Amino acid sequence: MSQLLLRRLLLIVPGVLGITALTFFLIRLAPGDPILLLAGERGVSAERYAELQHQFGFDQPLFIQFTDYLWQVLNGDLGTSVVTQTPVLEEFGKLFPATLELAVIAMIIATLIAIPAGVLAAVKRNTLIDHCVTAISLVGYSMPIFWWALLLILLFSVNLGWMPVAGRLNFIYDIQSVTGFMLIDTLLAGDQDAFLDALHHLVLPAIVLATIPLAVITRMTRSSMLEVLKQDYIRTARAKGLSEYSVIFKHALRNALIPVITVIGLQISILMTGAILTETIFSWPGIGKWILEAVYRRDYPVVQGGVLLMAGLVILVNTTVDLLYVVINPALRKQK
Amino acid sequence: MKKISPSEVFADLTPRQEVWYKLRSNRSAMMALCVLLLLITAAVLAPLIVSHDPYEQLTDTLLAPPYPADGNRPGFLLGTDDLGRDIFSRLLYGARYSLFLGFAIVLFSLVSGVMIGSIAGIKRGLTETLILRLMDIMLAVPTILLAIVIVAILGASLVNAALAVSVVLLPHFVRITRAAVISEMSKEYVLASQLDGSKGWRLFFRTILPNISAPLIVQATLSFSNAILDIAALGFLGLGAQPPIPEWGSLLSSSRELIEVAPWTVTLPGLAILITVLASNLLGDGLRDALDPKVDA
Repeated sequence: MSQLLLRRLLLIVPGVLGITALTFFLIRLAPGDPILLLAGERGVSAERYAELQHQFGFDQPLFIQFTDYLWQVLNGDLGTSVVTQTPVLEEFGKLFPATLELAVIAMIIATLIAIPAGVLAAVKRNTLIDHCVTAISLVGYSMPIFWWALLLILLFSVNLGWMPVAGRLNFIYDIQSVTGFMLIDTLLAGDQDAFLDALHHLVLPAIVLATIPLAVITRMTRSSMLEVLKQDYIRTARAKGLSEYSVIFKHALRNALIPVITVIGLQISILMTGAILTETIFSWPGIGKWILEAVYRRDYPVVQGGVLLMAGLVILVNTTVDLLYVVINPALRKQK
Repeated sequence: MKKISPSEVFADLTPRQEVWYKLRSNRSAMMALCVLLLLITAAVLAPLIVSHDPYEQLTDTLLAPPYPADGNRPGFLLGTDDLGRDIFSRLLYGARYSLFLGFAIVLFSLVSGVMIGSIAGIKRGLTETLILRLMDIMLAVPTILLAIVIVAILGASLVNAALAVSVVLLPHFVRITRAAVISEMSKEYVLASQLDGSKGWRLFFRTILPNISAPLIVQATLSFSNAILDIAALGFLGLGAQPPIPEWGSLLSSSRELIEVAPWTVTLPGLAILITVLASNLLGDGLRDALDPKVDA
């Protein structure tokens, strides 16, 4: 098994290398001279231009530029934002907790609803309940989430006035950022009102971000449970006279959950896609909104670094899920 | 009474008839097919159906609500937007963009994916490894993010957005084709055809491709819904269709600030996207069940 783990871990290297190359060369394809773009309307003198070109290394061959960039990335230097003049990694570090908080809450919502719903649909196969669960999850799966977000804003913010439209916290609260997670920071500050306000701000974006994972996990749980319930050992468990509860939750669900856990882990890519749309609509100060704004402003170091970090995150989580899959699946564990 | 197995029922049907028979018995897939056909017909015949030009700004009917509501203007079934344009005509013309682009994107990804995938599957070796690694890398970047980066580089326009989405959808076709080609290559009918002197692209197109079309058709149908969603998302972010083009996503983005005064300008375009995506997902699921030999058992 350790060999399998090692091989899987080694596969991260070409993946990250490839992403670095992809972003590097894609950005170089962009039209417009980056130095003239930096200089803006004022323009730049010929000597200053040559000096800047040398400073950024643009006078080097492309391949040398790439290896230089790769060396920088390996040393943890992802460049500096053209707009704010802050290192890309520092900006990412500041904004990432907001995205993580949103994504974690969304996944908790999705999992807590999806697994019971999927089990229920499988156990009550071909009943009204099953049809409803299947239909709702299909709608959720097909949902344009940017529209779903607007609908929720229309209902809960505009018409009912229950939820705030944007942001993470009302500006009247002054909470010191310790962990970067608003829910934890407000608790640490001991400010109950601020905590509730942060929770209020979180509800709608979290629901929106949870929608597609919820649908996917429900479908997966249902089909996995149906598959397991057909197995002989379930018949054996029933024949032994075990209670239906014990058959479903102790025997069936445990086995059915193995593929489901993998699917939960693989939602990271969907979550990141969702984060770009959700954060933009709800003005949530996370990395999705940050990258999109960098695209609008043509802040290429941020786009390049941001994509690299986001894709690196996806690779890391997917690899972890693969490894966990080996650990939790007894069938794979035995073949050492 | 003698029990009849499904394979006996289908015994005297051609494979195509069998798939059609199974699909026809799937009520939700048939409903989805009807909805899609209706949408396509309406989009094609749009100029004959609508009573107003989708770009015409009628200053005397700004923000008229849709039909049953108070203040609806006769002739404007779904109301008007902030510039007095008829929403029904805009949605119908928008369907032309969404559906046509959906087809174009899927066709582009399908054709190039099949080409690349079959090269990987037939050549094997280093070529295959390089292609697969590249596809893995593309799959590691979240779809919208990759599309956004491509659009950022090419410039925001509907054509560039379509190109970006077809690149994003490509890896799935490549992987499916490669896997299918490899499994077919070891079968005897391929060997027979090879012995018959068939090789290269001719072997691929005449002999192998017809036999691997099932998973590709399913993937194409499901990609169609993804293409429509992604194009709309890019339009919504201002990176796809630019106003005044009535593409559904850009309709949503331009009506965002009207959400309080004229909610119908927000609800209707999204509903159009949802219905189209839902129908093509349902049809895709139905096709998968109909084409998958495991389902008989």
